[in-house]
Amino acid sequence: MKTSIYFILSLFLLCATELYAQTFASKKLTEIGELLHKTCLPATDSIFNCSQIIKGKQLVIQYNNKKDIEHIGVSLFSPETKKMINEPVCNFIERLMLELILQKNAADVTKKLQEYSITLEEKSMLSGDIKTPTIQTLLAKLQPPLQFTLLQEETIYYAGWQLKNGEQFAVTFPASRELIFGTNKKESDITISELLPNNRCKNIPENFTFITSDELESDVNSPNIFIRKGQTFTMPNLNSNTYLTKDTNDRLAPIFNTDNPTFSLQNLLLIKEIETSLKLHIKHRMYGNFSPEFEIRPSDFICFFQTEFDIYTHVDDSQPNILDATVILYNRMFNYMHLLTIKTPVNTLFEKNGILQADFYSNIPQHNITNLFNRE
Amino acid sequence: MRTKLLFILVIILLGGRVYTQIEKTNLSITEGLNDAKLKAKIEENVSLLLTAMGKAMMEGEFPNLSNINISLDASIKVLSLWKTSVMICPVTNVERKCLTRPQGGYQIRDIPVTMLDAPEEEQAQDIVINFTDDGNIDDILVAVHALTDFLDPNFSVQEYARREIIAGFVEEFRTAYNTKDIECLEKVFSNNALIITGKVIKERPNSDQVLKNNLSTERIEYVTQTKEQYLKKLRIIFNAIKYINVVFNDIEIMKHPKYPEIYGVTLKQYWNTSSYSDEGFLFLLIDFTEADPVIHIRAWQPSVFNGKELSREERFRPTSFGNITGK
Repeated sequence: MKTSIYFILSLFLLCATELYAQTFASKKLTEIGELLHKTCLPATDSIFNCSQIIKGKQLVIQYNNKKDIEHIGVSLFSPETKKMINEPVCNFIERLMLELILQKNAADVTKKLQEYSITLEEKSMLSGDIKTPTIQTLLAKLQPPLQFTLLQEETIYYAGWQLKNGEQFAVTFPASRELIFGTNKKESDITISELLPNNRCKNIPENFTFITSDELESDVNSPNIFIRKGQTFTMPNLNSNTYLTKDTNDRLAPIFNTDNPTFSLQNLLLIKEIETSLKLHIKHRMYGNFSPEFEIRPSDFICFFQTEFDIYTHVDDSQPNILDATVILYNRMFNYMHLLTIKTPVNTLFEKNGILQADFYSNIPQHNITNLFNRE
Repeated sequence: MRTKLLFILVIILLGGRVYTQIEKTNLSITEGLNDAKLKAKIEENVSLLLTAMGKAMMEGEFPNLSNINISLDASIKVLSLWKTSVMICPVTNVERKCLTRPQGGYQIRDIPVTMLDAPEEEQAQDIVINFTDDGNIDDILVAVHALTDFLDPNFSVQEYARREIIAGFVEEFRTAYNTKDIECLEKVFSNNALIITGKVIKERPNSDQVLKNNLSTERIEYVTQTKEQYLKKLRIIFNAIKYINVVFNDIEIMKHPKYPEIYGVTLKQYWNTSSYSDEGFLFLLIDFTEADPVIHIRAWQPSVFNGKELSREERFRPTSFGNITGK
C-alpha cells in the first residue's frame, strides 16, 4: 500500500514537472520542446546534463518572468561571453545546435539548414579541405580551449570556432530577426505592444553647447538656423538631420517654434530633450488587422528605440497647413525596421497638450527584399 | 554531327559572353596621388567593388563586399542603392584623377555606371567614391539628381514608406501560413480573390518534336480557385500537417501602371512542411484602397520549368491579369 502511494506521488510529481516545463515563450521553442525529453528540464535557469538528448555536452535553459521557457539550447557560451559578443546571436547558435541534434537523421539536418539558409563548414588545417561536418562531430570537437569569432558582413553573420590544432568550424546565417530571435511577426508585434506604451525615458539631457561648429552647416536662407547633419537612409531626404538655433545667450538649442514647423516636427521625432506637452496617439497596426491605440510622449517613443535602432525622418509640408512625417526605425544588427507615419495640422504641433495622430507598423523584415522600387 | 557542332558553338559563345561580363573592371589613377602603396590600395578597392557589382548582376545576388576595404556605412549605402537599382560599370578600364578632400581623405569622381532598373534615358550615370586617409571606401554617391529624377514623383518618401508597409503586409501574410491562421487569411483575401496555381505537366515528346529538335517535355497548366475553395483545401492541409515554415525571399514590389492603389509583389516562396516541400514564384496583387489592404490575386508558378528557372518575362506581373480588380 505504502509503495503504491509513493508510486502515485512520484507519478504526480513527474507529471507536474512535465506540465510545468511545457510552457514555452514562442512557437519556435514550442516546436523544439515537442522533440525534447522533458523529464530532464530543470524548473529554474540552469546549465544541466541530459544524456537522453545529448551526451558529453551540457544544455542551458532560461525562464522569463511569466515562467515560460525563453531560451533552451546546447550550452556553448558563458553569460558573460554572450553579453560581450551578442546575446541574441549566441542564444540563437545554442538553440540551433539543439534543434539540429533533435532531428531524426542527417537528411533532416540538411533540410533544416536549407530551410534556414544556414551553412556549416569544417576546414581541415592539414589539407585545407572544406567539408560539411555532422552536427555530432561539430559539437564533439567544440571543447576548450578554442577561439570563437563572430562577424557581421552586412546581412550575413559568420560564427567561427578555431581549435587548438588549427581546425576551423564556421556557421553562416542571414541577419534575420525572425531566425535569430526565433519569434514570428505576430509574437514580436505583441511584445512591442506590451512594452512600448509603458516606456518612460531615463532622461539624460544632451548638452548642445558641446556641438562644435564643424558639425554644423548654416541654412542659406536663415543665418540663425544651423543644420546638424546626420545620416541618410535609402534616399537623401530621409535622414537624421536636426536643426538648431542660438538663443539670446548664444547657446545652441533645437528649434521648436511656430516659425519653423517642419524643422520643429523633424526635431521632435529625433531629439528626446525637446520639452513639450504633446503626445503621439498611436494606432499600432499589428498582425491580423488588429490595431490597438495608445498615447505616448514623443521623447518616450524615441527612448524606447534609440539604443538599438537608427532613426531617420522626413517631414513633408507640401500640403497647406498639414505636416506629413515618416519615421524609419532601422535595426542594423538584425536587419529589420519599424515605421511610424504622422499626419497632423500644423497648429496641433504647438497646442498645449496637443495630440499628433500616428500609425505604427512594426517588425518589417529587410533581409528578403530585393527591390522595393520596381517598375511595371 | 551538325547538332554536335552547333552545341559546341553555343557553349563557346555562351562561355565567351559570360567571361566578358564578369571579367575584372580596373581603375587606374592617372594623377593626384604620389603614395604608391595608397594609390594601389584605392585602385584595388574600386576595381574589386566594380567587379563585385558585375558579378552580382550576373548572379542575381547582392554584391559580395567581403574582400573590399569598405566602411559599414558605405556597404549599407551600396546595398541600399542596389535595392533601388542594379548597377554595373559598362567599361573594363577606368582612368581617373584622384582628388584630395578638404575635410580629409580622397575622392574619385565620374565613374560610369549603368543603372539597369532606371528608365532607359536615365540608365547612364556617374558615381563618386570617397575614401578615408588610408584608402578605405568611405562613401558612395550617385549624383543626387540622378536618383531623385527617377524616384520622383512616384518614389517620394511617402511612396517609399507605402512600399515598406506593403513589405510588412507580405510578412503578415507569410506569418498567417506559419501559424495556420485561417481567420487571418480570410481577412487578407478579398471576397472575389482569384487563386491561381501552376502545375508542371510532363509530356513525352512526339516524333515531330524530336525531328525539330524541340525537346521541351513540360508545360505549365494553371488551375484557378475561388477564395472559398482555396481556404477549404488549406484548412485540410493545416489539419494534416504538424509543421509548416513558409519562407519568402527576393521580394520585389511594383505599382500598377494604371491604378495607384494597386501593387504587385513578386517573390520566391519556399514551402516547407513535415510531409512536403517545394519552391516557386508567387505573385500577389494587393489593393491599398482601404486602410486594411486585401489580396485580389495569389498566383503561384513553379520556379523551374523545362530544366531552367522561370525567366522574369514568364513570371506574373500586375498587368498580366487585365481588369481583374473590377476597377
